[in-house]
Amino acid sequence: MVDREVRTILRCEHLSRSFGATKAIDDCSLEVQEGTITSIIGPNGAGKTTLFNLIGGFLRPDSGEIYFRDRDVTVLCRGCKCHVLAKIGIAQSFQAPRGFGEMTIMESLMVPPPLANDNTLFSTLKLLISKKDTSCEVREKRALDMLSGIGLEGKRNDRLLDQDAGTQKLVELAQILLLDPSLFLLDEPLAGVSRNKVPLILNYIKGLRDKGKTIVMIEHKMEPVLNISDVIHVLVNGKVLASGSPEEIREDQRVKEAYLGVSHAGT
Amino acid sequence: MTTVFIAFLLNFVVLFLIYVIFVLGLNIQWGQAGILNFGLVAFAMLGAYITGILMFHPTASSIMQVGLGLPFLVAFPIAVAVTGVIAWFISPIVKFGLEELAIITLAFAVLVHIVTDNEAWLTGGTTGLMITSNLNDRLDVLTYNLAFVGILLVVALAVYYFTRTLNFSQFGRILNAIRLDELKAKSLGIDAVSYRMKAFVIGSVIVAIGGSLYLYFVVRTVPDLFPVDLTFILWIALLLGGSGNNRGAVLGMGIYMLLDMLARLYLNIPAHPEVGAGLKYVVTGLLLVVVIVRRPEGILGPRRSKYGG
Repeated sequence: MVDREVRTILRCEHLSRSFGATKAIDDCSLEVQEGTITSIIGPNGAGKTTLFNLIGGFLRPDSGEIYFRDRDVTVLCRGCKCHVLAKIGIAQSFQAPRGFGEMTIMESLMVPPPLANDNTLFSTLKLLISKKDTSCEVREKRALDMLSGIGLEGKRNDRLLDQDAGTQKLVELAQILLLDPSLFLLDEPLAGVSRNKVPLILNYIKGLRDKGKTIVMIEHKMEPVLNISDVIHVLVNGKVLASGSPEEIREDQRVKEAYLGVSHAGT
Repeated sequence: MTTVFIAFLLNFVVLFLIYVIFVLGLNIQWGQAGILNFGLVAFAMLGAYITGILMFHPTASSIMQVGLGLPFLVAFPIAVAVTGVIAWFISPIVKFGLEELAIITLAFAVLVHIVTDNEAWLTGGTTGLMITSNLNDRLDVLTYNLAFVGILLVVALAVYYFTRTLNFSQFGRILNAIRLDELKAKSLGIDAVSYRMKAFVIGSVIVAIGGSLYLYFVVRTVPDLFPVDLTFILWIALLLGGSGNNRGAVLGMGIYMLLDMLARLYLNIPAHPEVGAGLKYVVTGLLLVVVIVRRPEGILGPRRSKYGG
């Protein structure tokens, strides 16, 4: 029990959320251990993205509690204080990539996050007198390092909205990496990404786990999910149908019926 | 004849520079932070009237019963600061969506207008508020206008430099990020409401600077010097030139003022003075339609950062 490996970083208890008569999330409870890659799979409409939006503070839960490192963050989630959640260490990427489309890739990577002690209004006033902007230089360097990391240096001055979905996904991932949260909520990080970029993203995700970060991801590509996940939760009709290691999930009869058997069976 | 004409031209330049200050304030709010403000003129009024109240010498017979008789150089910073505080008090409205903001800000402008119209003891009402100005007493018309061109040029350039610096700083970058996708900005740990509130206050303060100087120039003001539709003239100028772009804002204002001047010079039908004024709106409206159809981002387009684009 004292082992670091089994510390719970995220705990959802009896979460529910309805849209009209549809119960998107229905009394859903799950736990995520720190330093693991947890995948959430399930058929379309199972409530996966809704669950992420509840944890990330983009939707209010109707009932239930969310704990982050044993801290009750339900109030933050209820108040849609996603910026506070991002500051305490929960960051979310979106299913349909969101960014600041009119900005260049370089500039959109300079948006996150507020650096420590970086009062941007005050530093702007200082800029009126002095041309030197150290915090901007730090940002610029971090953004450039990140760009070369994801192999997009060549596109640094291209507008984000002119890029294909895969590139936008990469930029979004890079933005979150710059935020350096302890819990990553990645909504289909591989969707739309070209085949040759998939290993790059998977390596990033594995590298994050090696650094002690926790990743929760929603993904439909079964092969990578089964390969890199430590734990898989199967969500069906807003409830956790089954949880376990990839091997257990692969053998689980209910999962086969509800999900794997019906759609693509993966490996 | 020529002196009158030169004074007329200088008067236009003065007005143009004051409007440039206004439109630069609007550009921070709308062009950068995406805050819809249909009541911008209220903050110009607050700047002007607070300056006026601080400068006015009340006498037993004057309609206006309040006034401190302060010199302009003292009244100006106080008025701007007080307007800033008022803006800060109402800035939480930026939480609302565009439709709500449109109604709230327009209502605020109408409210300020009604109060200045009716509370004559405080504002002089429709009779007007008159300040004593050393410049006005000592200088002849031409020098007076010339002096104000100088003063306003310095202030407008300072405001331009400030808004430009803001635009390209991290603060400006974050404001733009919030305007482009507020939810995404929040997901990156940015307290969007707090940033938008700051932008609202900064824009209002800039407009108050313009308003205060406007009063100092005209010496006597009535509420109708700040008609509610002045706000929309500023909007037209900003949309024409390219919202988010400071140069565009100035260009748009210049085009509007030029049209205004030409209309007054050449569309002046003595028997029907309203025709000229009306045609000016027709031409501006047509121009705006053409720009929006052919080039929705405005003549100069959106802001360019040094990181390409």
